Amino acid sequence: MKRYLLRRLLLMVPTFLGITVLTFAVAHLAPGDPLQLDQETVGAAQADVAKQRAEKGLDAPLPVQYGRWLSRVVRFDFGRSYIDQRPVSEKLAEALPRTALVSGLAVLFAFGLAVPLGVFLATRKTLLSRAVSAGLTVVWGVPTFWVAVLLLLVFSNPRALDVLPMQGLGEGGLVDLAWHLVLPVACLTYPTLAIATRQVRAAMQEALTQDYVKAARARGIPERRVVWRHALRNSLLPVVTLLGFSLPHVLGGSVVIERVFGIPGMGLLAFDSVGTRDYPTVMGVATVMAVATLLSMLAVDVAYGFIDPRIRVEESS
Amino acid sequence: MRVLLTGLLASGLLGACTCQKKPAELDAGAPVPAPSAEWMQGKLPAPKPGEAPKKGGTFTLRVNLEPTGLTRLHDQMAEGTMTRLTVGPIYETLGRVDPKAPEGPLLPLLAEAWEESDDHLTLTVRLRGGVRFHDGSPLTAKDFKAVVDVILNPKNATAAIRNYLADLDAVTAPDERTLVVKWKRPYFLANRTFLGTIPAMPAKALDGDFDALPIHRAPIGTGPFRFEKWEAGSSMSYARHDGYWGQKAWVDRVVIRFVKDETVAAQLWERGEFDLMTRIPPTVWRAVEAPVEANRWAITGYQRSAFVENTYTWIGWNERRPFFGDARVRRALALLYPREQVARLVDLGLEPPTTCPYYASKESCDPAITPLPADPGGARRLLDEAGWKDSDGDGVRDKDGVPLRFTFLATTYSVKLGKLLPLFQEALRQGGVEGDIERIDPGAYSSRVRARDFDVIAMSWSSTDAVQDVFQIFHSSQAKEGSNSVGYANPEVDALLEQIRTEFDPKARAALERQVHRKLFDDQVYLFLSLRPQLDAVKNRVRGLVPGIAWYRLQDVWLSE
Repeated sequence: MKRYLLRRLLLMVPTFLGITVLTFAVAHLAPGDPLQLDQETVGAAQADVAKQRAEKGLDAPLPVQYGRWLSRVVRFDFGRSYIDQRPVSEKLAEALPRTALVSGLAVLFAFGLAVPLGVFLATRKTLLSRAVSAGLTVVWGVPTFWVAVLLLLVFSNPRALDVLPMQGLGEGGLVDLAWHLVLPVACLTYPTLAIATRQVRAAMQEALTQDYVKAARARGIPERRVVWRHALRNSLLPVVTLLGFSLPHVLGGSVVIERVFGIPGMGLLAFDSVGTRDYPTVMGVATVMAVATLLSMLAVDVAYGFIDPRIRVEESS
Repeated sequence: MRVLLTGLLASGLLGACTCQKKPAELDAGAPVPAPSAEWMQGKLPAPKPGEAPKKGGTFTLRVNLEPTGLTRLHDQMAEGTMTRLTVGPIYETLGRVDPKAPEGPLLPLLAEAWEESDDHLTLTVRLRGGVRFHDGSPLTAKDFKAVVDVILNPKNATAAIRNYLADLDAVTAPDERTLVVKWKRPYFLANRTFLGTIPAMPAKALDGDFDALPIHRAPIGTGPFRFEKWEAGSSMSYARHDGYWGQKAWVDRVVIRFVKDETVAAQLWERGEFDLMTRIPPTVWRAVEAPVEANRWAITGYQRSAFVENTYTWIGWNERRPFFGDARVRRALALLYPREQVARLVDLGLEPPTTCPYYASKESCDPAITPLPADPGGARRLLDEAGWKDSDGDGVRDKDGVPLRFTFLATTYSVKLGKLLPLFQEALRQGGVEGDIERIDPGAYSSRVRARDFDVIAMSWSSTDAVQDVFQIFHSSQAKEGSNSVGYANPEVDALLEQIRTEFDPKARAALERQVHRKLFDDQVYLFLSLRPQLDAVKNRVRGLVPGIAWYRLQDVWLSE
């Protein structure tokens, strides 16, 4: 197991390099320039800006610029934003916890609810369960930006319910924070909940037709135990895969939700820095995302082994 | 489309909620009064007689963007509008634009007086005594000199503001309260720009790595408000500077909230969270006008202010393209422009039309010039005359094998252009002209414009001063790298613009500027569109707010309750 982990960790290095090279190239190849001035102030100032560009190393060939960036990043130095000149690590440290909180709670709720709900839908063949299944498909297709605004109009409008705060994460205090989290977390939860529930239901339905379930039932094991112990464990694989895909999003944040609810997290940071061609910040966000993706992929693979005894790490190689 | 949606949501949906939710509460109120004429026009009411200003309270306002820094110096942090709004109450300059007569001479601010030498090459400024920075240190001429030195240092990212000092010879501070500014050549705007642009900052706060100076994010000025805190992504606040040298501010605090999303901003506004709601989209502005229950909060709780800024929008034809080099073609396209339709459907009757590159209410614009009316017949005749005919019968005019087909370049963010360009496109098609629309993100847009890689662009020029020099925009020397991105070149206009630069008599200069206006109109270098109004709403309890060319002066604001 240790050797497996080590090998997987080592394999991450080239993958990480690949992701960052691509991001770096795409970011720099898009037209635009972080140092450009307002249109109104161009003119003689252009020559000065050219000097600035040289000083920041922006006129070096892209591979050289990437090399410089990489050599700093391995020392955990993300550089300084070209726009507001603050250290990128500082900006990440501000945005990351906010996004992790909001999206982390959303993933927690989504998967926490999806498993029992999926099992329920797979085991009961009633009109209600069919209606809920169909409803989930519809809900999954409703865009979050629309739902977000709608929720605000219902829950935060003085002429409607006016019970929940609209903006930010509050001014301190757990209760205040919880109130502020309700709407954004709800918005982020429902699409994941919808898809995860469908996954659990489908996997569960399949598992329930397997021979080992029949065998378990034949042995007289109570149905509840058959479902929750025997079938569920085997139907968790696709859910774990989905969870693995969802985890990086926890750190990536959502531009729409962060914008509507006024939460300055990773989504907005990425969006704004791409817009201003703030390469150091773009790359900082990309690095966090790349590492998160790779680690959650590893976690998923390790989790497979625990969930399904048929998947075991081969020590022989 | 997004703003349209906002408008629909703000008016329709909220209205719907009201009818169903709390009928008892609604019936309790008197019928919603029809808005007054002033309210409709957006004229803030005159001060009530007998009301004396009161101290205290927190004044909260909304802005639609967050600045990247709080400085007037740094290229990447000092952005025109945001800087004006956010550091305006903190930093002061030597002189300020007179809000009552913006085209007149500057009023002294940190300067007690100044004197210009007869050859206009030397400016001697006498600083006001007893002025202290927010950190308690006294303001001296050396502080101003330090700011200028920082700006002039080519290593610093101060190229934009340095541009204003291109002709500066030397700045000296012979004593604590005297500043002497020498110029290499006479220029009518040199002293005005210096007096009105260079902020007073403590010299010691400018030591060190310029990019990383703390003062960029925590400004220290001499203004009526001192910086309190900045919560990134949410708000910033100022407190009254009790050691202010002049009339002290009335309110204790000013809170500026950054709310980017228009729908959310409209909602917060309705909740009464802003004393001053700025940048109201035209659709929302119109949506709150009907005297219905859903609009009661706006009609009875707020006053509206529609102040026409010194900002005009224009469509520019890249004259390097084969078809746009001919002024007749440009005029024909202007005749095809559906002015009335745009005014009605896009501007919602809120944007006054213009044809002038100078401050609209000023002497510099020739009053005899009015916008070209839509005249498709006249446009077709002009295009025929210029040799653009549909020779191959494909519905698009052509000449020497080149079809009259071009692309409008616009940013993805511009709501106005998103609605205007399709209307123009349709009108052009009627005249046998094909205009495509390409929308790209602002970063890429600026690069394309700078590289002159476009057919047609639509932009706006903006100034916070009524005294302007349009040399950068229309002189042929600025076609390669300056702001003359359309590549306009007319030797007569060049000569006039050069003459204006050294004409110090305002009356004589205005006469020259009228000639420039006339020639630009005759050449149809731009299709001038309209002046942009600043659409704001002010809570009833707010007093003393007067919109001006340089925004509001927050130290005059006070709260009646």
